[in-house]
Amino acid sequence: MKTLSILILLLLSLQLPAQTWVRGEVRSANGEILAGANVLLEGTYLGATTDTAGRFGFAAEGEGAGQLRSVYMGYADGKAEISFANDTVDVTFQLEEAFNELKAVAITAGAFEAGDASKSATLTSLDMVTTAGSSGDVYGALQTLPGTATVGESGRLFVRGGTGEESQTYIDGQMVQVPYNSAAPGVPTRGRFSPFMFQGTIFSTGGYSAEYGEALSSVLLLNTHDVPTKDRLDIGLLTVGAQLAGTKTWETGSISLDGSYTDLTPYFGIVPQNLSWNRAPHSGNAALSIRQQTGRDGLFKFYAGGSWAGADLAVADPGAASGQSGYDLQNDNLYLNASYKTLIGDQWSLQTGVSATANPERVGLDGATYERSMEGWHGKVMVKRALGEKAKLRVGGEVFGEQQGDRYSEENWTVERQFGQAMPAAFAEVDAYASTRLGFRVGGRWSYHSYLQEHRLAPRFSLAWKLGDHSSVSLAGGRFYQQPRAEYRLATEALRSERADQIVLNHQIRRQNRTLRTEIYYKNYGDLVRFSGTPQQPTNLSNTGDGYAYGLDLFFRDQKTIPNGDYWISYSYLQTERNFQDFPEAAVPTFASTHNFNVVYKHWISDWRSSTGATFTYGSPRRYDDPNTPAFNDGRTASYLSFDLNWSFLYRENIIFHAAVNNVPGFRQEFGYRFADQPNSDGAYESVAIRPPARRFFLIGCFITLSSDPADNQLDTL
Amino acid sequence: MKKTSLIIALLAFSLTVFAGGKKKYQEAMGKTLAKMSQCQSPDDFIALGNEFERIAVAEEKEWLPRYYQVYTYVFASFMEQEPEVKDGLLDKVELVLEELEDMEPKEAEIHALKGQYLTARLVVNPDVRGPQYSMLAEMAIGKALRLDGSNPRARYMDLSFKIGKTKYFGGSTDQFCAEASELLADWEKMQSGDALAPSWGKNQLEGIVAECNGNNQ
Repeated sequence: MKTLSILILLLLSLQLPAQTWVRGEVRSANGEILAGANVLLEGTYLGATTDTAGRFGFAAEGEGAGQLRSVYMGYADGKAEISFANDTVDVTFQLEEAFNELKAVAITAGAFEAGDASKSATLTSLDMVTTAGSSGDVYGALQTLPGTATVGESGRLFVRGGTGEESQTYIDGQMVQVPYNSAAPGVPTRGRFSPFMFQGTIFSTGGYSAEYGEALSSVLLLNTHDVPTKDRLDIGLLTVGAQLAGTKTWETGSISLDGSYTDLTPYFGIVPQNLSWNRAPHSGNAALSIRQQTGRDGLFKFYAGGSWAGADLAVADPGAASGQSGYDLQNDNLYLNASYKTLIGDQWSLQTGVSATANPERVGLDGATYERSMEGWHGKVMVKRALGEKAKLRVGGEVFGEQQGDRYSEENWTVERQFGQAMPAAFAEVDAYASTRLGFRVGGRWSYHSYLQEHRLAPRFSLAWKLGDHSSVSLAGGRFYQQPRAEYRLATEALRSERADQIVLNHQIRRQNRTLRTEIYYKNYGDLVRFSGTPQQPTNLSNTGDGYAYGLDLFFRDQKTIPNGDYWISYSYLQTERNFQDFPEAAVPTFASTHNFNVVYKHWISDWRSSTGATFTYGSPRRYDDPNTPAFNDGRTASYLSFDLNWSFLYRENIIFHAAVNNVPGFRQEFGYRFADQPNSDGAYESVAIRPPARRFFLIGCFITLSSDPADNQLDTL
Repeated sequence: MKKTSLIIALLAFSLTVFAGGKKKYQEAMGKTLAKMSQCQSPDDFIALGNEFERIAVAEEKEWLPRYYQVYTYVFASFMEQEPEVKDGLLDKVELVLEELEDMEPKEAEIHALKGQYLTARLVVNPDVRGPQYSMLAEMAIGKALRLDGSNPRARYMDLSFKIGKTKYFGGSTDQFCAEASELLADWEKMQSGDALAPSWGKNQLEGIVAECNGNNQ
């Protein structure tokens, strides 16, 4: 009985705890009022939410002392001990801003970054396809961004005074040795990969991470989609060909098969071309991709793509007796890419992959054949580790392998050259934040080229400072190396890597779908390859060339002012000279233009279920060398002008009609002049202008998607 | 005799303490849920979400308090006007949803709610986020339906998306309208008997059915 009474007393005491009125306020360490903060008494459901004055109050009951906690998004939790002995307790919380990497200043503020899932994107795959003038090409769309120049006869990315080779493309962290289709001289090329393959893109026009080597001017980092979730079949019919793609999904993975055939013969039949084609460009493509999730955090991706392309034309050649020279091109390409990423414990993440390329090419010239073979592979392992809350370490190793060869044969004369090499490289980099406002990255990259027998060490750095909630400045730079192009290395192994030192200063304001980005840069080139003779048969190759480039890039995008409208304006100012290749002296290279200006506008017309776009492009005159004048590279082309339109109509959600016209007004575009090797009887070198194959380009297409879900949304694959 | 009564008393006590913990949780949840109908402003919803958060902090193993915290915050974001305030609330939701997915990866209700969260993200800036977030929302709803094909909220959102799109493209919504009426008729049957289980969506579905019927007249 005694025990029971004690028990009852105990129960009574439990049921009659002390009542205490807990009140106070929650502020940030800077004294800002934090309204809507949650204040709670640990171990109970008791607590309160702060009002608009940041104040709270609630009745608490307990024995002895209790732990009070205040919770507010973006701030570290506040803690306080209260005593229930008092009738009222006053508590003031001063919360420290929590470090949040997502909210912290972006260290690589200079890069154009776009992820479909990210909240603020600069250029998504949808943006790429709906950009008029891009013709659905990744590289075409990127040429509307500042830092790039329109080099119409090439189609490649020319970034800040760099050649087309100085830009490197990576897919899922693996290098793509041959990112562009082969094309005949003077005919613009396209990228081999459809924008729809990618969920994220980062285009860096300078000062990029030590993870990426073998690029003097820029890197384009493309990340393919993770696992698709729906079975679907896509059919595309275009004026230039047809495509078919199917995806089968399962709970943790998917497989896709993709095939297309393109042939410009019917199109050239309708639209006259100023090139004489014996066989219009045609190509077949097939691709297989597999995705598989492994465990909770692992993802395996595999891609295999093959293509077979050909074209045969007569190139206007003032040196040839007929005024033309033949160019019969055949190119096969195989690209494999396998990657795997996973988390290892809480601290580590692993990213690894291999890619391989084979790209045999055969060009039939008048009375001769030039064959070029290229096999390359790339293996890479990278681990990342968090160093506390505010720092991250990235360490990786990679090996590039290549086997290059060529063969020139005439009737009874053959020259054959080849070399192979492996190139190991390693990189390490630390990202660290002093606070959400200040972050830096420092790292370096080592590589060894077994063929050129050289070690290279490339330091990189980046520093970013958030000026306010919407603006930041960043400074990035470092040393960048790239091996001379394979054609030069085939001629001799006595060469070194070419070098560029870069410094980039960036300022960015981003506020509610308006972005203004200003960047100035300076690049210093060294060890550029020079030679005598012709680019086809270089002799006396040496690394005695050099050069510089500096300029200003402006980018303004506004997705807010005009309802359903979205536009961006890019302007690039470039000053550059270099002494390289067969230049007799330092001069402005032919691919550089001082001013490049783009306006891209897109409008969604809801009533017509139509997405429309217009792009205006201006490029100031480019240089060319006129052998009839004593000065080198002092000829100037006409300014480049283009105005492009496109229109996509969603007939049904799974049926889209698309029409596009490039250069609607028919501006007369010229990219340079081709001169005869020898002067004519009057002592003059004859020339022809290099122009696009036609003044305008039209495209009409219809895209149909059949999905496991009959009402599947197709906007994303427009 | 004394001993027996003592044992019984002790046993009864320990049982009440044990059951009391669960009961206390259920009572608190029931009380907090009942306040939902009185919420009028975004601040009301945030305050209520914080109440759920307090229960969540105390009851680490229960997923429903976090679920309702997400639900009320998403509601508050729909009511707020300023894009940055909306996104601020949804940033918090995103974190809690991640916790929820870790706790109960196979729970269809959580994925259905994620569909609502993604729709709320979309609404902040439809021009820019429309294509991406409608796809992400559909993926979340699709996942919910794969986990539980009869989840009424996932089905309602799925139908709402389908009807919206079909109307836009000028097709016939008859099939989806019929499915919506069917779903409404079966709603109570599909609804879990647990008083604390998610039950929202019926009103919105009624709206859809009413609109369907209006169109047919």
